[in-house]
Amino acid sequence: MSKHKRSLIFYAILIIILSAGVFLTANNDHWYNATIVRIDHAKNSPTDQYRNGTNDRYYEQLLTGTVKNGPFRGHTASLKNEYSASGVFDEPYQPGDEVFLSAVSSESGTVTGSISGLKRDKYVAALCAAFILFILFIARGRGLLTLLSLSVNIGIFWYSLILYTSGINILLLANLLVFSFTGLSLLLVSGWNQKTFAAICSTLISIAITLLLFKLVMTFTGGVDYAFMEYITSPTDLPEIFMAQIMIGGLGAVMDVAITEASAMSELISKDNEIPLRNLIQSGRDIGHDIMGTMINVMLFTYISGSIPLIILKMNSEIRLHTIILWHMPMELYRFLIGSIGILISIPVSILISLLFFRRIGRIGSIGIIRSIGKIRRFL
Amino acid sequence: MIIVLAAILAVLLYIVGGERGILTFLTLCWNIAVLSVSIVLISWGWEPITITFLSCLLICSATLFYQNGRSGKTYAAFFSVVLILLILVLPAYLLGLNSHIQGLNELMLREDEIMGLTPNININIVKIAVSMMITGLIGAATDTAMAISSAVYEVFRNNRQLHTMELFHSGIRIGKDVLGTTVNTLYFACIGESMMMFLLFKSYHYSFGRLINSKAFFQEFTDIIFSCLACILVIPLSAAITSFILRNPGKFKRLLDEDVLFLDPKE
Repeated sequence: MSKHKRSLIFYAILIIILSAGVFLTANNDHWYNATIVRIDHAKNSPTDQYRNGTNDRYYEQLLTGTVKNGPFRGHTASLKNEYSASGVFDEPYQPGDEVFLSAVSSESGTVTGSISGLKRDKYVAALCAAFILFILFIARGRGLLTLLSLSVNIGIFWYSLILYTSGINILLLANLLVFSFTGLSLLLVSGWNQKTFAAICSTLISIAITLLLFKLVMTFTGGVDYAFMEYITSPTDLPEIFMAQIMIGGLGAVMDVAITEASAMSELISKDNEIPLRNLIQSGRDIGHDIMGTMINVMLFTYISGSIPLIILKMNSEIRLHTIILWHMPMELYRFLIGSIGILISIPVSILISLLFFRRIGRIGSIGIIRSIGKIRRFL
Repeated sequence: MIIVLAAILAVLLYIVGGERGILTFLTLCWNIAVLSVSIVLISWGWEPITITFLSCLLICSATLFYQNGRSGKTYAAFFSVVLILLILVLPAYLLGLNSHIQGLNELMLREDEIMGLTPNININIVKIAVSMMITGLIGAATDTAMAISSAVYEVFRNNRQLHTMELFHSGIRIGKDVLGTTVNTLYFACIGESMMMFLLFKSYHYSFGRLINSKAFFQEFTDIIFSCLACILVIPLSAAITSFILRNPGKFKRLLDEDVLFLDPKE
């Protein structure tokens, strides 16, 4: 069988498996204990209230639907819902939507209850399927490795959450997480070789330096006001949680820099064993310049984009943008700034560590190392 | 404290990056300014998706052209990012509409901070959710596109005889290397950001089924997965566009007049 034909069959099987998975999650109502209703018909009527002096319209919905699971399966349901045209706190439902019900009661064959949320698992499944399909289609074996490292990392994170609820200190957990995440993902991305070990070392050292810097800034400037963190429940260990967030949030970017520098250095040294130290450092710096700008941008948009809806909401509540940035979203800004500082620190650190790893240390000797550190310092 | 950290960032940019560092810092300021202006415009009731699209174009062109100069590779990266945005806007909108991604999630509704805010903003918040997804993916897409196009450019510079297809395949091969680490970067940034949310889920004893269906989880999830999809899809696009531009410089004469690679050697 030709190679082309084999990969065609592989993709056909993959597409069948993935669409079967999506189909299954779209029809998995019997897996849930909560009552699920599929909306068949919706009747909307505007209420004539204009609330709080604004011109946002409010609507009332009378929904009829069919119960999909549980003891009332097959019965008709009649539900009520209210929504606004903007839909900030509420949402309209259309025919075809599947919703969860709470406080279910049945009266002469008609089920009533209050809607507690939309059933979204099929969209999660569809997105996952699209992700898996595209990554395997474009990156083949590498894609498989990426998926593997992603699922292992998600598993580790989930397990650590369980450990946290059983009472283990979050900072200790975060340290363990950083070690295992770094080791596992770098090993899976670039294999069992010297490059990987250089990258692991430089990642850990860079993260340590970044955190040290952050601690120093905290002690000199009075620290962070944790009241602005989102989703606060138990205020006992907020500083630890924030520290853990910072450690893990910047980890991916720092690893990216470390592995890029390490593989470039090893490539350069393997091409030309006698390459002068000065040229090596210059190349490392050039690569660093090329990646730092776009990497910092990735951090910026990944962190800031999540808070756009809240900012717009606050601006419409007559809070000025200046106030919002300084008082309502400093957590995002801290994370972004510290992540970027981590990226920058990791550039010289990973150049240095790669040099120590790949230059034959026996030949240069310890004097050589000291001299090269001196050279780098002078160079910077 | 923010100012101290920002100052440290600026100083480090200068130490590590020299002149390129200053350029990066200026681009960063420009991007934040564009983002703020677009948020203000959206909150005044301007069409959110159009505004986001325009601001993404501004951000992307600043990141590519100002930081890295005008050349075949930056133009190729720019075109591929624009294409990716055009491709992903419609799926993002349909998904957002059908899965009710808009608005505040159930965890935010429990917070005191929300109490004072008016929900009557008279802006379609589904569109805001879509703009959020688009803004989230622009950084990652630009990063990947630039990595691919500059690598293909280097390959072409060292092997001028390569054909379009060969250049395209080397672009894909480089893309495989880039993809794994970029997906990791996004995953860890997302975990770091949403750790609090997961801790909260745990402390409310959410079951797996309830977690998967909750709006809070879904918002984070779509955000990261759209960024990942953009990264994946931009690889073949950027490889194709770069190799096409490099092999057909005649058609892009106006764009390439500053490119060292295509300058007339006689001049």
